[in-house]
Amino acid sequence: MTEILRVENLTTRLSARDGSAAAVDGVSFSVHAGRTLGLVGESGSGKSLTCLSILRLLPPSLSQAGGSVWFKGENLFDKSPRAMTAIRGGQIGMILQDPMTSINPLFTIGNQVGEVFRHHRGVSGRRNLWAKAVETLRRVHIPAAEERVGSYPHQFSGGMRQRIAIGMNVGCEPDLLIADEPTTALDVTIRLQILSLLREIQTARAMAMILVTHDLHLVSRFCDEVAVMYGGRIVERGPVARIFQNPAHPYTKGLIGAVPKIARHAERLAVIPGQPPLAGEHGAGCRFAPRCAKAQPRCFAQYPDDRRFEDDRRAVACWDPEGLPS
Amino acid sequence: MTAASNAFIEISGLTKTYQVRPRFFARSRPLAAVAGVSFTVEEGGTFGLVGESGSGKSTIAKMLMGAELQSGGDIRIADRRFGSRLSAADDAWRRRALQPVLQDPTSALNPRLRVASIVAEPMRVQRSQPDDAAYERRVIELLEKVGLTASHARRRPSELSGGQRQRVAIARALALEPRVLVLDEPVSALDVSIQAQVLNLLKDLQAELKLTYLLISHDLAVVAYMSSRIGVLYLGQFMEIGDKADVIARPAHPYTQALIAASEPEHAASLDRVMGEIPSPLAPPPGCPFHPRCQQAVARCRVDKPLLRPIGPNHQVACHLAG
Repeated sequence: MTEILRVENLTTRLSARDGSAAAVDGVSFSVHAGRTLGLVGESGSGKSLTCLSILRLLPPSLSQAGGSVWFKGENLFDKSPRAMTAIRGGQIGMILQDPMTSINPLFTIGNQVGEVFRHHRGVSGRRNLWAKAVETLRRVHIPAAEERVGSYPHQFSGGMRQRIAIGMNVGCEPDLLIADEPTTALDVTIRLQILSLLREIQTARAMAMILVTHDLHLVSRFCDEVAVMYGGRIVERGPVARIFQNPAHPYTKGLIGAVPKIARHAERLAVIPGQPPLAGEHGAGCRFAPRCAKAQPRCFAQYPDDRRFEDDRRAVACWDPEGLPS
Repeated sequence: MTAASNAFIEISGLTKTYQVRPRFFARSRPLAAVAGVSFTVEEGGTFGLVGESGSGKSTIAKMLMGAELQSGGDIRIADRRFGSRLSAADDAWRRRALQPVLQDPTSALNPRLRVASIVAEPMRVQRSQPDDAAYERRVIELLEKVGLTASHARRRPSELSGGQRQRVAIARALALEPRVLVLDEPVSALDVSIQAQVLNLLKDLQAELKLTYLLISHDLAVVAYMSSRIGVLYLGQFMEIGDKADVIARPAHPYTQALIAASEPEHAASLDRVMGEIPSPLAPPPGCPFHPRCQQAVARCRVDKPLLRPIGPNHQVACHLAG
C-alpha cells in the first residue's frame, strides 16, 4: 500500500487578538492509495480546518503554526504558492459541502470543467476543451452530457451540481481527493448515489480519499480507516470495523451510542452530556474530560499521550481507554 | 366514528395546489405540493412524516398550523374543524394549542432579544400572566423544564450553543401550554451528541405534558426513534403509512425500503436502490409517482396509479407489487 499523504503534528492557530489558540492541535494521520480515511467530529472539532491546512487554503486570520504535510514524499509546507496552485485541482482535488461554492454561476458548465484541463493539462482549443468537458460529465453520469455541457449551474439540481464538482476535481486524475461533507446538503437517496460515484472513481484509479463527515453511518459503509476529532485533536484512529465494534475512547463510544438506529430501537438514546468546547477554549488536560463520565483528576491536568495497540494499527489518546489495561 | 373518536388530529384528503409560472411570460400552472393526504394522530402520540425535499412535508405542517390555507380536504383538531371559514374562537384556540419548533434555532430566535424576552413573548402577546414577576417566574420554570438554568435568561442567542438555542425555542413553544408541537426537522441542524440530548428532552416533555407531536424529518432513524406512526411522503402523497413497527420492520414500498437503506447504508446490500432524482412536481409522472426511480417498476406502474390499500391491520401501502 503506497502512502499518499502523511500529516505530522499539524497545528493551526486562530490568531485572536488576545493570544492565539490552536484550533487544530498536533494532528497526525496518513492516507494510502485506494483507501478512504473518514475524518469524524462535531462542528468546531477542527476537521475542516485540517483539510484547509493540508491544501494551504487558510484565510489570513488563521496561521499555520507547525507540523508537516508529506504528499507523495514532498512537504507541501515547503512549496511555493505557484507550486501549490498546480497541485490543487491537479494532484489533489477538493469537494465541498455546497457545490455552488466551487462553481461560478455566470459561466457554463462546459467552460468551467474545460478550464481545469486548460490549466492543469495544457489542453487548448475550444473544441478540445469542450470534448474534455463532455467526457468528464459522462464519467460522473450526467445524462445527455453533450446537451447539458452548455447549461449554466442553476439549470442543474443540487445532486447534479455535486456530480459536476466531483468531475472538475477528479478530471485530472488526482492522487488524493478531499471531500468535506460532500453529501450533507443532499437528499438521502441522492447521498448514496454520490458516494457510490466517488467509490467508483476511487476504485478505477486507486485514488486516496479523505471523507470529512459527521455521519457515522456513512463512515462505516464508505471508509477503511477513521480518525475521530474532538477539540482540535484526534482522540482515536484505526480501522473502521474495529473501532465501531470496540471503541476505545469514551467520546467515540458515546458518539456511536448517540446515533439513533432504525432496527435496534432503543427506548432512550445514550447521551453525551454537555457541549463540545469552543475552538481553543480548553485547559491543559483532555478536552473531553468535562463531558466524560470516567474523568479523573489527571485527565484535567495533563493531555494523554497516544497509546498504540492492536499491532499499532489503532491509537487512542485516553488515560483509561475502554477494554485496555490502564 | 370509532377510529375518529380517539384521534386528536384528523386529516383527510388534504391538498395544497399552488399556481406557479414556470417562466416569466408563461401561463401559470397548478403545482400540487400536497395531493390528497389523510392521517390521524392520537392524543399524546407522535406521527412521523418522512420524505425528501419537495415531498410536501413542511406544507402539511403549515396547513395544520394555519400558516397556509388548504386547497381542499379537512383538518380536525380536538373535534374542531379548520376549513376555509373558521370562527375567531377556533383560530385563537389553534394559535395557542399548536406551537412550532423549527429546524434552525438561529433564524427562529431574534438575535437582539435576551432569552427571557424571547420565551416571554408569546405569553405577553396572549397576556397570559398577571404581572412582570409572574412572567419572570414562568420563564425560569420553562427554562428549567428544557434543561437550562435561570442564568441563561439574561443571555442573547449568540451567546448560546446550537443545542441551547434549540432548547430556548422549545421553551418558547411550551410557554402557552400547547397541546401539540409541530416539530419540523428539530435536530437536523445539531451535532450528533446534541441531537440525542434534544430528542430525549422532547420524549421526556411529551410524557410529562401529554403533548401530541407531528414530527417532520428526512432522517428515518430520527422518525423511527420518536414516532408511534410513520407516513412516508413522496411528491405530496403517502407511499406507505402505518405503525412504526410495521413500516420499519416490514417496509412494503420500494421507496421506504430505499430510505431505510440510505439511512443506514452499512446494512444495505445494494447502494443503487433509487435511480435518478425526484421529478418536478409541475410535471409529475403518470402512473405511480415513484416509478421512474423504482427498480422494480413494471408496465402497469407507468400507467396505473396505485392507491393506498391496507396490507395489515394498521398498515397501508400505495404499490401494485407490495403484499
